Amino acid sequence: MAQKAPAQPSLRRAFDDAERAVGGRLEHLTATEGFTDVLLGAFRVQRAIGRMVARRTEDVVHLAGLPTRRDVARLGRQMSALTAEVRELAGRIEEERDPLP
Amino acid sequence: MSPPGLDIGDVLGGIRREIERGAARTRNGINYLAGAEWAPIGPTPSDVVWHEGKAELRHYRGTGPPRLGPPVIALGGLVGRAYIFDLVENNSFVRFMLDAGFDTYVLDWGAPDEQDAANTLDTYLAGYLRRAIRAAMRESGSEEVSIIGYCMGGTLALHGLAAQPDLPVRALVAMAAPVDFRHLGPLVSSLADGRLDPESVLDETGNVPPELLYSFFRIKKPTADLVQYVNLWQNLWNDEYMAGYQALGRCFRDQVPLPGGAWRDIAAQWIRENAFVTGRLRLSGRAVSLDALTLPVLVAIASRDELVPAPSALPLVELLHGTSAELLELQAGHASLTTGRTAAQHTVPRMLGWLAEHSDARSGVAA
Repeated sequence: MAQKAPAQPSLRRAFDDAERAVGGRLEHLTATEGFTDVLLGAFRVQRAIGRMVARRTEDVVHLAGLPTRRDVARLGRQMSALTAEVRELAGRIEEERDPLP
Repeated sequence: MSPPGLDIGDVLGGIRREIERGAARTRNGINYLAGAEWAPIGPTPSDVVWHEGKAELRHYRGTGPPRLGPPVIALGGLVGRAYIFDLVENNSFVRFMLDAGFDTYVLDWGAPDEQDAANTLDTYLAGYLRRAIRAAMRESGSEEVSIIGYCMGGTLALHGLAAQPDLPVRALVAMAAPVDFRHLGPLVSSLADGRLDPESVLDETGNVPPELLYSFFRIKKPTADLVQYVNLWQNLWNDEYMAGYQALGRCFRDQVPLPGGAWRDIAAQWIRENAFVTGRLRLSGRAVSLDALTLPVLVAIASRDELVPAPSALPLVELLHGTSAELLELQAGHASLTTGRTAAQHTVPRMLGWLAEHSDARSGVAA
């Protein structure tokens, strides 16, 4: 026989009731297109400010003749693309040598 | 003499219990605020048997030899952490699997950085998944594997296996795997109807930042944090609860970036074209049909799942024409499919029971 769940304290029951009432409305609000657009807008503004600051910093670093984080990242991506190609080729060779059953 | 209906022993017992809980609550409250760790994450011993890029395949060690074959690979989504499968002692999906007799592997996609920004679904499915399956077969000496895909991991497995029907996979459990992307909430809807350009959310590394993904999970249930704190207060005396709470909370917050290339594929195919439903899936430049899936599939959905609501996972049963898909509807939330008391007592035994029916007893190993 299934065990009966222990009764919740009255304070907890009151919280759950309030949470259901408020939470449902909030969920309805956050599921709207308008809310999503505001959230994405805030995210884009934050990113734009970050990019602006980064560009100014990079200009200064370049003036000093030093590579920036973006330069290093570009090199890293090129190396990563080469590594992926080598992996792909190694995988194909392995498949040809030892085909799947 | 005590009044009728009132047992003095019960009253004293209740008082003693409350005093003990009060003391434990104070102790745990101080420990929690001090940042103490209740139990280590990933307690089950394992070995990395294959790795490529950031991805790795872990082979878990049980107390005895596996009683069932073929080996099983569990995989999650690209943004979550693989340690969801091995949270803490007494609350570990891989431990349940080992105890049930399975030879258990977990494919961890890893935490991508800017060097992985170009990784596409091709990289993960035609590359990592394919080679991880080979590695598990080689490691176990088996000629096939079974797969458990959880959440986006289930969707990835479906896409990857349908695109590569030559992969020797005996059975697939698709746990809370979304296939109809019209029901996944505001971020996905804004992509689907073109209000959100996928490129606009990539950060300077070329990936989708985890903060954005996390905030979109959170707004689906805005009061979730508050409810969790109340639950925490109510259970602060309970060390076992604290261990699970801390591990699961960390796992949920500890999202990783989604590689830009994979994001573009997902946005274009899975979301905008709703390609699982409309039959327009592609991989490696070739059309992919779910009809190519002829292996037994268990579609497990959680009735209280807020991240992957039932309408987004349920259509899979009707979309698989080449095989008989079985539906398992579980009274659980998204997390309690794999973790916690509900998982241990109800959801996991039923899923693993199905998988055991589609496995063989290993000769020479006592059941």
